[in-house]
Amino acid sequence: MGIKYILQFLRNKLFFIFVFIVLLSFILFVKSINIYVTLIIFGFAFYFLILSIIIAKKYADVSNARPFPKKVPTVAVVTIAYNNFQPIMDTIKNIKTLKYPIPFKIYVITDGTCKFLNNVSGVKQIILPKNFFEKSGTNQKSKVLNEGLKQINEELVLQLDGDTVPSKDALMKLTGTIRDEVVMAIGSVGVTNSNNFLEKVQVLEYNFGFGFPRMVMTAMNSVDIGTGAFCLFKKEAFDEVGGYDVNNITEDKEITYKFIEHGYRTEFVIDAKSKTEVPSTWKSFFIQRVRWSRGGFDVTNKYIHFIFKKGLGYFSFFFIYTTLSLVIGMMFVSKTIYDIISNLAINLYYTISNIWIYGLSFTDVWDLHISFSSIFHSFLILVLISLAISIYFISISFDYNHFKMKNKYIIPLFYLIFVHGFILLFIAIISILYSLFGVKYKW
Amino acid sequence: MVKYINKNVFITAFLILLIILIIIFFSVLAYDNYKKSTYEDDIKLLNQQMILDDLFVVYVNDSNNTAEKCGVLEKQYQAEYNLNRQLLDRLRTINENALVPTSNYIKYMYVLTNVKLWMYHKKLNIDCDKNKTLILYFYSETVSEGKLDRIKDEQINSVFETALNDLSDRCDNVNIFVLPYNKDIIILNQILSDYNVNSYPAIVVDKNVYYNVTEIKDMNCFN
Repeated sequence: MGIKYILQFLRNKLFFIFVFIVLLSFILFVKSINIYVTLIIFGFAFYFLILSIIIAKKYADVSNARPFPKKVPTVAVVTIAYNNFQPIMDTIKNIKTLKYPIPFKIYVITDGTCKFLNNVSGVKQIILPKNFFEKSGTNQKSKVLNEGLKQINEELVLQLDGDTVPSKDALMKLTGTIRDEVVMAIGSVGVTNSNNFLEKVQVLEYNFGFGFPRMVMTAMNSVDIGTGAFCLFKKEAFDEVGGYDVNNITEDKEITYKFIEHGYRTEFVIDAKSKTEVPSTWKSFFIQRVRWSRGGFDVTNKYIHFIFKKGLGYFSFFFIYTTLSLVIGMMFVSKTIYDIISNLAINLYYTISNIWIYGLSFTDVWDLHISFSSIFHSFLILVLISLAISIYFISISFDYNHFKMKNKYIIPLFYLIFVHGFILLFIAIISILYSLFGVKYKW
Repeated sequence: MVKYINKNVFITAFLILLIILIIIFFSVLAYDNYKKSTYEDDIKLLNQQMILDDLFVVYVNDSNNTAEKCGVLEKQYQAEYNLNRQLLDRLRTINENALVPTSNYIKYMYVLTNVKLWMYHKKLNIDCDKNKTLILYFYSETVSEGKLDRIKDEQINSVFETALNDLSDRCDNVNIFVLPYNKDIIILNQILSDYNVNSYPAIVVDKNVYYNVTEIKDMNCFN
């Protein structure tokens, strides 16, 4: 019983334990990195950038909307509302503007408290018992959707979050992509609120992320991020894979892995636009990203066997490559943080002890002896080169997404290029620690 | 199965990457060598001057005018001493900013020329009856880079060097020869054992070894 429990625990935490050991070993035992190792690491990162740029040039139309199918599939547009959620009326209004050759049904999954929905024409409520909406387990949204979708018989399901506003032609643009083994199509998501600095950063981030990178993933048959806020999927395939994982916080990412495991694929359609609201405060941003990050790692942990699985095509390469890149990124960020803290601590300790022993006259308080062993110190040239390529990478993505830079985005862009990656990797490290030590999820 | 890209894309990306990495590698190497070469030129200059010293010694030995001989040599040695102090500062800067670790060759060259200079000055004191006080300063040195020990060393050295600079400013007749506490260099090992230096940082003045900064702080000028 005991051994079985330990083995189960190790399996559940396998990825987190592995990353934790790697990070700790790197921090404690790697004292310096020579130019050859540096080149190999940067080469590893460069490779994907170069590959992406070639793909972008050669297969530029891969994420364009595909021709609408001759036989029009039936569609159900599904969203969730509970606890007397009034803004759902705006969502319904937006859904009703969606173009489609045949009438489609709008389903709102509720807890029965949204009485005002009874009188709205063209909307069908799927009322679930209240306990479905109570926080229990990891992901109640998955539970609600799994249960609610059982009552839907349409061929395709367009899933929308309450705060997501799709463009009128979004559904039309997504539909053609569902074909053969492609059972899920995700659209491009923009940002509705762009007032403060953080929101502007996210405007840029979304315009970057929902552009070039997802297009490259599509070209490589490797889209592994479903967008729960705005996606169209084949109901039959959804049922076949068993619906969303109720134990995973990023159910939209997890289901793409399930699809891949069953031989299905997800594709990104850049022309299918929508907009959503993003966090306005650093606290809510941090909580959201930790949640996404933890969910992403949970998926990696669950599907770690994909490393050895045959028949996944380019996805095997993509999965190993992106996971390794993330781990390497975390190694450098954790090492840099450790270096900064330990350098400052040692300098402070010796400065104080020197002042104590010898007095101020023999101690230069501002004479800091900094010895960074990671990226800051000797890798400056390589960092500059990688920045140049990154800027090019971002600019292609903006171009691809038809995003026009305005003056108000210049400072957020600098932040995005020089700092944001570091912050996201820091969040990833925190997520690893949270998951390893079983910290509860926050909303 | 929907397929978009073929394997050639991966190979092309790899080849482009290889070319970029080769260019970066050789650019970094060339830049670093350029920085090091200026230092090596200085070392060569110093060596040239030392050869010149030997010539001077032989030449002035023929002369019976000891005052002239000693005056010339003292000037010459002092100039070399000053140059070597500058070289030390530059060597430290190069070591801090080097992309490729500085070769041991440069460091050995510095140590050897400095030891040689110290010996010249000793000889000058005896032959020309000078009363320059020669101080050997052994700073602590961490062999591998990037260790936090290095910061500890630098912090400890820093206090020692502040005291030595203060002494040097106060006393005109003091020459300080800066050497690493490194037993792997044979001549240094010999000097360390001759003067019984067991720890670092330390200074040697007239066969006495001092390990405590406060002792240097309280030192009077040597007359």
